[in-house]
Amino acid sequence: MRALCWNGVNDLRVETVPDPTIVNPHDVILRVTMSTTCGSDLHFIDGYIPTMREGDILGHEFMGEIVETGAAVKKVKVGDRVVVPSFICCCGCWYCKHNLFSLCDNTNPNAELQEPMLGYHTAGAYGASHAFGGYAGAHAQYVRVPHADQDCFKVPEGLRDEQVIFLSDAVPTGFMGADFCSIKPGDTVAVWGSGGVGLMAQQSARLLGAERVIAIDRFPERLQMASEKAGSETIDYSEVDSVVEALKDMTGGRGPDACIDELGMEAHGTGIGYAYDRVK
Amino acid sequence: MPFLHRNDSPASISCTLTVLASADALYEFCQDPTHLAQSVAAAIDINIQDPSHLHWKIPAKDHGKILLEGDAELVEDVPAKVLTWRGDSALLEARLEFTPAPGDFGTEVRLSVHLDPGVHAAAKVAKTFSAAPEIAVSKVLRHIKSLVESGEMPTLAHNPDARKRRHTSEEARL
Repeated sequence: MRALCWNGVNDLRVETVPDPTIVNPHDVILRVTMSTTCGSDLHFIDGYIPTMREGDILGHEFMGEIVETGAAVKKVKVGDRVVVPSFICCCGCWYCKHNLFSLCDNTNPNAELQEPMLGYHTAGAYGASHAFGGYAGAHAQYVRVPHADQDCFKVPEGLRDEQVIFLSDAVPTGFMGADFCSIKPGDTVAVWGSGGVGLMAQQSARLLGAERVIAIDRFPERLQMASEKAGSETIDYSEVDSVVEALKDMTGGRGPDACIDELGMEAHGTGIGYAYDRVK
Repeated sequence: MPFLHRNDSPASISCTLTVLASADALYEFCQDPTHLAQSVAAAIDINIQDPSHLHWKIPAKDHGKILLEGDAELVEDVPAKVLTWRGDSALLEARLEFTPAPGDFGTEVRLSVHLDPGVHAAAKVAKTFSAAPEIAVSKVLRHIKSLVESGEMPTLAHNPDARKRRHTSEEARL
């Protein structure tokens, strides 16, 4: 098959690689119909995340059609159109049982490689470095999906790939940010960043009961999306002296009840703080 | 994360991990030598002679030559508490202990392995296990945990990448 492979910092190549095969009984093979670029892919391309190896296949936000199933797969079948989360979850360990799926204890084959860096291992993830499991990613024609009964979510008829693919990663990431805020009815939530994940966080905050959502960004088209799609009020941080003062001014001096950072690792600040970060 | 403890004797390695299962279920799982063989299969070939006796071999990964081998006998069997195998060569003893964990965490499992000091002392061990012996021991515990909790062990076997093909084509050019 053909796949997008990482070969070093800023060195991506579409190469021919072996097709994936069923290895474990709960696996399926997915024909990828859509795979999208996540901000996290930039961490690998920019060289921020260690333990990548030349020839690794990138991609962890994807969906497709099941073309082969392992012997123990019961809930999904060949022909099903499914969307798959970026983290691989067994749904049998303590963390999965407590809805802490990204900490799954049983899906990272390189846990001992990751623990010295993070203190405790995460779940395995697709195309996200060897510390995160080393699984081949989904910027490819086919991908192996372990624990398919738990990790494949069937797509209802009538929905296009473009309408559901963000359920793989962008929605859960944004929702998690909002969920951490313990939002109460009437709350005002400020969200830094109005990219894909930022918009999902704004929508999620609204769904969880926020009365006001304030989006902070500097790109007019993003702020327009925040306003039109998420019903957010907006602050263009390049147009104000102080975001904090702007927030206070919009909230009777109280400031927001919760804040969500959806900027990502490659984001930059402004002024002296930004210069200090660059020096670091 | 398996918590690892090296005893004063350099030939002893002890590792513990919590598994979401009862002590009864874990004891029953580990008592079955086929499960034991599955848990160590990445590094050790086990030939089960009967439920209490087995023969084990550690082949070299690159050429298949047997690096170490020996017999082991189940010498301690306390339901839901302890299983101990004792060997006659490099592996002197392997002991699994099961202790109920607090709350809803399941059971704490401790694996203690005592190796012949002469075997453990040298680079031979690193070569034998293809990794530090501590990691090899903790991996066995992880495999038991994964099999019990999820029904399979995570693996990168047949994981696609561009390395093999590239190396093959480079070799072809040579």
